[in-house]
Amino acid sequence: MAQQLAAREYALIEEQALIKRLRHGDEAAFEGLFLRHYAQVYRVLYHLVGSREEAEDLTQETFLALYYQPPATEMGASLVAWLCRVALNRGYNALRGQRRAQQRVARLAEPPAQIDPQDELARTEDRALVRMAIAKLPERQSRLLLLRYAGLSYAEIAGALELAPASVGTLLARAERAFEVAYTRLEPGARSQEPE
Amino acid sequence: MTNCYDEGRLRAYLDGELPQPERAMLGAHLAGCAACREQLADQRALAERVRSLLPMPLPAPAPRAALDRLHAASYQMAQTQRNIPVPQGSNLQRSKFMPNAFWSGRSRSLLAALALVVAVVGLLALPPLRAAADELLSIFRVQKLVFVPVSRERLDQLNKLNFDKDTLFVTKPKVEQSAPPRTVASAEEAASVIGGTVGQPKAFPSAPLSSDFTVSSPSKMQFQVNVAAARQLLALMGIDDVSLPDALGAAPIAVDVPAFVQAHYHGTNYDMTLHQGRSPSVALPDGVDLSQLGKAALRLLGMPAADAELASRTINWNNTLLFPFPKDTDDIRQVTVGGENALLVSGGRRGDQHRQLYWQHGDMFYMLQAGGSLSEVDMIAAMVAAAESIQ
Repeated sequence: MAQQLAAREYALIEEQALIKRLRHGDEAAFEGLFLRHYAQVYRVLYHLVGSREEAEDLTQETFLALYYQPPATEMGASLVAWLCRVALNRGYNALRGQRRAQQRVARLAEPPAQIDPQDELARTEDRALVRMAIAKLPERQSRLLLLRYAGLSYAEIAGALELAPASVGTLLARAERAFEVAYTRLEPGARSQEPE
Repeated sequence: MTNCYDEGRLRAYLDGELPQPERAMLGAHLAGCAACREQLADQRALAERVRSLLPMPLPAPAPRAALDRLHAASYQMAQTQRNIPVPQGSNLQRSKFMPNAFWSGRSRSLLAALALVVAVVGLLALPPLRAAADELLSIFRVQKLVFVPVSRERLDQLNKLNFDKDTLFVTKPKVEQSAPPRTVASAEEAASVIGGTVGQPKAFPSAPLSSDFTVSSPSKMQFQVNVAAARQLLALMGIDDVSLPDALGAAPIAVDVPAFVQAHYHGTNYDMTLHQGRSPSVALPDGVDLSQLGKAALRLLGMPAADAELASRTINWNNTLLFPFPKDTDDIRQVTVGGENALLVSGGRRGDQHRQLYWQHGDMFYMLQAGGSLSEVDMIAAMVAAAESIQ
């Protein structure tokens, strides 16, 4: 109990201490990091792959990567950035896999079979549209959007995507414009309109 | 206007990501620049449109449940002995004595307890030793550690032998754990889980800021020795004053490692983890002449014949376990903890040094692992003080 409360309060220094303990084989440190970052990694992956099961699997894989090969602790480096980089790599690899590609195309074309009970049908379809629009973007831009809307800071995004922090603002604005265009073209209403 | 800001900077300002003093400067500039104000408004509108298109973040599955699933998956992997590659530089702690066969999945967390049994088994492929009783199976509980120094020459000799260690086993050692380790809230809870007392150090360099406890579940290891191969090993090393009984390979040897506790203490300039557990128990086939085995082990480790003969007669093999260690290195040396023999192992790179202290008291085995910003001398003193203060 005390460990879960403390996890929320840990500052970056504490996180580095946890990573260090993890590298020495400390189970409790791994658990603390897992519980703290699980949801964020899951969300990034879910918005990418669109399947709850696949997002869970990939999230597990990401944390196993943390477990077996924790990053070296560096001042100022955020674990979130590292986790999201690993997660996105795995996510995109999964998407690129042949078998998965077919399933993904099928998923994108139809509304998802499983409707989240907390959602109305409309919102679920929205998500599918969003995923399709993101999929149309160059990978660099889609990664950026996924991370930003998972709540990562510019510094964390820069860390995860290996960008200069000063460039994040420009790239984000461009990615959003591209996304807006892609999404608007996909909207059911838009398809029936005459192209201008 | 040459003073105007580009889109990227404006966007960073909008998101609150522009560092000072640039932030203040941009704010001041906006007060006097309509063009930039307009651009900023465009950025804001774009961000809001996109945000409104993106659906609310999904609730993620409960992390605790996901963690349990991860543990379950890992143990499944370990038990089906799938080949999980161990990457270089990973945090699995290696010592020269740990053959790869013992590392599967998360079994590395058994290091503290298993090291004491596995170190001998790994190097020698011979079981711990005991005077045989008249029962079908002899079972003994290890209660005494004897640290046996091994010279570098001997280690080199053993490593260079053209002998495949795997042939020493009819069935290779396999570790099984019944359940994944669990975090518990306190030392008291850990004690009730393992059904025994949990000692805690009282002396720390400074008061710990936090502590947490993990309990492993009991585990079993089983293997069967190939006696012919073991005899061949002795012959290759020119050891002809010991003979091994057939009974050694007649039936499987089982080692039961009880649950052990990992207690972690974190202070401003140190991290210490104390692993403690009751000693393993070993079931041997009937008819094994333990003093002969003990002598074989000592001879393999490089003890001269006369010394080994004497030692094998004076050691109480009823409850003794040999713990070999390389003696010609600063990284491993013998120290004492409360008058008992202990082994201090140092490792890691500069800036990330960690040390381990192994010892035994009564029928409890202990391993204290520590790292931190104290000097080497202070850290070692702190470790011994902590170890001696355990109650």
